[in-house]
Amino acid sequence: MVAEPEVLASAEKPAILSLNAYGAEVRFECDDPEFTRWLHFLVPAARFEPLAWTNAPVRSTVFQISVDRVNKKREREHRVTRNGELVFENHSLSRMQWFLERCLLREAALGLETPYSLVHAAAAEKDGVGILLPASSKSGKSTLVAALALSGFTYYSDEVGIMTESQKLLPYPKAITLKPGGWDTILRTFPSSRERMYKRPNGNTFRHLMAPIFQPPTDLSSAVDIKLVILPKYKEGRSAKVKPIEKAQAMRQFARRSMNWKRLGPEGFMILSNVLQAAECYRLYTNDLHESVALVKDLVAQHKPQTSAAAG
Amino acid sequence: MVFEYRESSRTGSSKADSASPPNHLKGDVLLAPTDRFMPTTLEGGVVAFDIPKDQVFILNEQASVVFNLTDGSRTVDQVIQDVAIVYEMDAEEVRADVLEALNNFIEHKMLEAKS
Repeated sequence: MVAEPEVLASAEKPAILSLNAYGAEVRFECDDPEFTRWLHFLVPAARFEPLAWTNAPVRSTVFQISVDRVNKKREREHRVTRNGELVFENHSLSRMQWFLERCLLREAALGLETPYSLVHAAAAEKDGVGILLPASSKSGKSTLVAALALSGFTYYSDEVGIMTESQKLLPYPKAITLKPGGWDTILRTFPSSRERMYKRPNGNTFRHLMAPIFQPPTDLSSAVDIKLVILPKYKEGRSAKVKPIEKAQAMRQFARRSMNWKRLGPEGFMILSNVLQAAECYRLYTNDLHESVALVKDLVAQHKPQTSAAAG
Repeated sequence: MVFEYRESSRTGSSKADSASPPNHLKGDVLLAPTDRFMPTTLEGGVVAFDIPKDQVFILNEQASVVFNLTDGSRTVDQVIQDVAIVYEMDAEEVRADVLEALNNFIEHKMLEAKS
């Protein structure tokens, strides 16, 4: 069973959202209950239930969030303190959203006991094939992974690929953040996704897509192997096309998109190298989402593990 | 023949350290990889992690051939000969390019003369 996040709010006290992020307990306290509810949609706690292998003592971190605070210059600003220390101050709610996402990711990653590497990537799974989609912003990776999630793939992340030293892929399934072009395309291609689309009240131009719930792996051995590394690139006016690329070329993308490279050093390099040794690498030019999904399904069919009956 | 380095910079400058590289490599010098790099061979070429600089060097296929031949057992002249055999060319045809590649490896502290 997965637990529902605890959201408490009243006129007297700040709204509180408690999340379990692998081995970490993260508590967001906000003076704006509406913002907390939105945060709840953005980072659904149910997807981050502690996994069996995270036996480390639970670390608890409290973030206090102040929305629309008026400073001495009479400017509206938003603030975040972490365990009482000011860690964010900005006028942009979108930047605070991004910052809070990163805070949760950091806490979640620190809660993992196994060595791991983080890469800026979307991620999904189908038929036992772990798929990593490393790419820069505006490459269409969130739109592509949303299309995959709405086409029967298991959604893992639109933001970060968590890779272990045994080439396993771990989920970080926050709500999918779609820019205007992205959510427009998704709604056009998958009209029924409208009921899963969420926009923050008084919010920015982004929308968030709730991917279908799934059961996360219960231990490391049951986590999915990374078998496909696909570099997506949005090309307007072109048919979707996939072509194999050399693994050394994919390493270039990994190195550019790594999020904890400096901290891990050689260990992180070896994780990335081992992932690439074990996976096949492709470039996917994406435009029409149905075509792109069909191409990824073809790749999965080529690389899915043989069942024992089929193997026998 | 092009011996290309492509560097994926994570931190710091992509320039080599200030130690000046040798302008001329003698043919009887034995070259070997330094401890500073962690190289691994992937499909498409060697990728090498520069441990102190947190950088990755991605070598193209030709540069990878040269790097893999400099394992401490071959002299510079033997490396040139073996590269020529790999590409079915004369040693003199590949000499300048191989020397340039070796000097670049030394400049970036990927290789050092073995005493």
